[in-house]
Amino acid sequence: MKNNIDIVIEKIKKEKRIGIMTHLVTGYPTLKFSEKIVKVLAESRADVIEIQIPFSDPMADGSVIVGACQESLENGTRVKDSFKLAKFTNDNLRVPVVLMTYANIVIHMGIKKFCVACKESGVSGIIVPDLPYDSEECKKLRRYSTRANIHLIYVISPAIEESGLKEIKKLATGFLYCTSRQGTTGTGKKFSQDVLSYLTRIKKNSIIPLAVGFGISSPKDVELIKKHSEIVVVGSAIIHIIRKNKNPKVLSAVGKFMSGLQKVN
Amino acid sequence: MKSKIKNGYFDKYGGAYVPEMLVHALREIESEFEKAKKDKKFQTEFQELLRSFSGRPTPLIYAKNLTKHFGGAKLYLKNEGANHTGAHKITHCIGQALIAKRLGKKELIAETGAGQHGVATATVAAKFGLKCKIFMGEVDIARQRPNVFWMEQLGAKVISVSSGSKTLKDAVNEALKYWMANSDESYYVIGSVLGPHPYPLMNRTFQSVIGQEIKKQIKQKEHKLPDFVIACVGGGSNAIGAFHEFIKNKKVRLIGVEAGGTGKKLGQNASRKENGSLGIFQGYKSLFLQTEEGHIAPTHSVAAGLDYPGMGPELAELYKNKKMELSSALDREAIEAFKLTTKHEGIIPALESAHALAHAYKVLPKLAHNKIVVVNISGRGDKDLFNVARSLNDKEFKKFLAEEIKRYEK
Repeated sequence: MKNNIDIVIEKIKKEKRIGIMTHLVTGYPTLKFSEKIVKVLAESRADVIEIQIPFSDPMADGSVIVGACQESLENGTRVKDSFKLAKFTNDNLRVPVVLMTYANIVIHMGIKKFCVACKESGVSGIIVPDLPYDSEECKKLRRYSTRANIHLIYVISPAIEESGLKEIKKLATGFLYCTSRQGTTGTGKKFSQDVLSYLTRIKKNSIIPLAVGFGISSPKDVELIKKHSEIVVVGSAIIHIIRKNKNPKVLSAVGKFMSGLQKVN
Repeated sequence: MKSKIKNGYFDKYGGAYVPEMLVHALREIESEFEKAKKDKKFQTEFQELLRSFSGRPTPLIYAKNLTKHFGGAKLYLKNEGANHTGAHKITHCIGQALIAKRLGKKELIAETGAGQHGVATATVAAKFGLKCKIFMGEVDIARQRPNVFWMEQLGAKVISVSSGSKTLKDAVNEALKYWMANSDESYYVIGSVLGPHPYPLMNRTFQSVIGQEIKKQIKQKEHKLPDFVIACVGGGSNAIGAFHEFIKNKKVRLIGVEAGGTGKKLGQNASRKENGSLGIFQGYKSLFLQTEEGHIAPTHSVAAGLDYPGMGPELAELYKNKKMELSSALDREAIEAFKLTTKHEGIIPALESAHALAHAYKVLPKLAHNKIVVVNISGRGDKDLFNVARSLNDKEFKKFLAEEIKRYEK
């Protein structure tokens, strides 16, 4: 059976547009609301939804997502809640899910058990940003995710060394998640033109689709990289909207933001 | 047997579990460190700074009064508190600053809990003419103002961290994040034998001077090796520093003493022996205090330097392979040991080091007269002035503080 991410990417290519992967933290602001938010994202034609399992110390995230994780955990969100949300998104909304979390959550649960739970929840991709591709744990994760027909998505940055890039390109399936710059998630720094030469470098001798994230918050940002990648990742910008507009306005604000981005296509 | 390191692992502990964007920065440090180790000029410069700037070797003191007091084994105290800036931390700061200089970095960044590593980093930054940023939890800033003041006087910018528990582990998170965005210009001076490879190996290499000195000094005085070497373990830099020289000698018992805090439950202490399990956090795989879902758990200790959920990977390896024992001391036992050492030996230990002393005072009376126990006093207690005065409920000190405020307002 074909992975849902591959199906979506084929569709995006056929329609000659850029795909949108949106991100949310399970249980932020509440579990109930997370469900409503994924519905809005699906209605706004998000191509992939990245669901983050909150971790106490999210090392690759900026203050917006750190705050969301903290609040979610304070509300008592459990790991299993993310699997439930993934299943709901995949089964009811028919949008492919990428589950993102940190290494400690995965190895604490057990790599095999984690992959089994992903499969049962209809997860199509896994991102673990603090698990290097050449670590024993990553090898094991790759083995079990491949067996479950789930893509292990690697996150790479402009500072990537040639040797590492070569290896990762060999291993990558689904797409490569390229951070637009060094640093953490969030909209703190201005999105820069430099990103284009970096994406060209990654694209060279490779057919693996790219998703570009970190600091993307406006249609203008999407426009800039439209021709250089298959997918754009919008994360902190949406959480920022959720934080600013407490319910009930938040859902319409997220919808409005999404349709703004879709105009680029 | 010496602990072997392979690809950044000590047995199964260690590694470099970081986002890809830090891989290049870590490789750069690793290769520069390997070059520096073989470079005579680097070695000479490092040794000279330890001698003339930090004041090494630090003394190994025969604690005659306490030996008599307990009536058992002979007690020696390795006084790392005699170092410049008051603790062993300055040693790996000097070493790392030299590496940073070789790499052409313009800025040193560091995390700090109690402020000791922050002060040491700010000190070497001032000495080497580098910019300096120190990340410190909001809670720690509130309770360690004197060290914040000194860091600022030394020219460092102290950045308040308000995420998570607002203490040491959160300061490490923020420092790592800043470094991810700024590794071109900045060098991250990690303050213990933890974090991603090569930090645990590099800091241990610098700190192992402690054990080398102990060996030489005890041989001069006693013509034999000690039977016990005891040190407190937070991240573990002073412990591995004191232990490393003796690992290959099985007759020397190495005991690490963790923070027992106020009790045995998760959250009441910082004892990985009691509550720790295998995890991946802040770039390394080791024993961590964590919840049943794999979140990093809150910790407690009266000593800020021990109030941290993880243990350096090499120490986890030593513990697992039974080359080192672990024990713990409660907050109140550490305070008692602090008082005893101060009164009987004229040495004011840091509360962290007082944990090692507390354990020594439990074992000393049970040992024969011909046994030798060395305790590493990782730092001096000046920094704990406010903390200890409050713990002892010292009325005169309280009065002084109230009057000091009045003097400000005049």
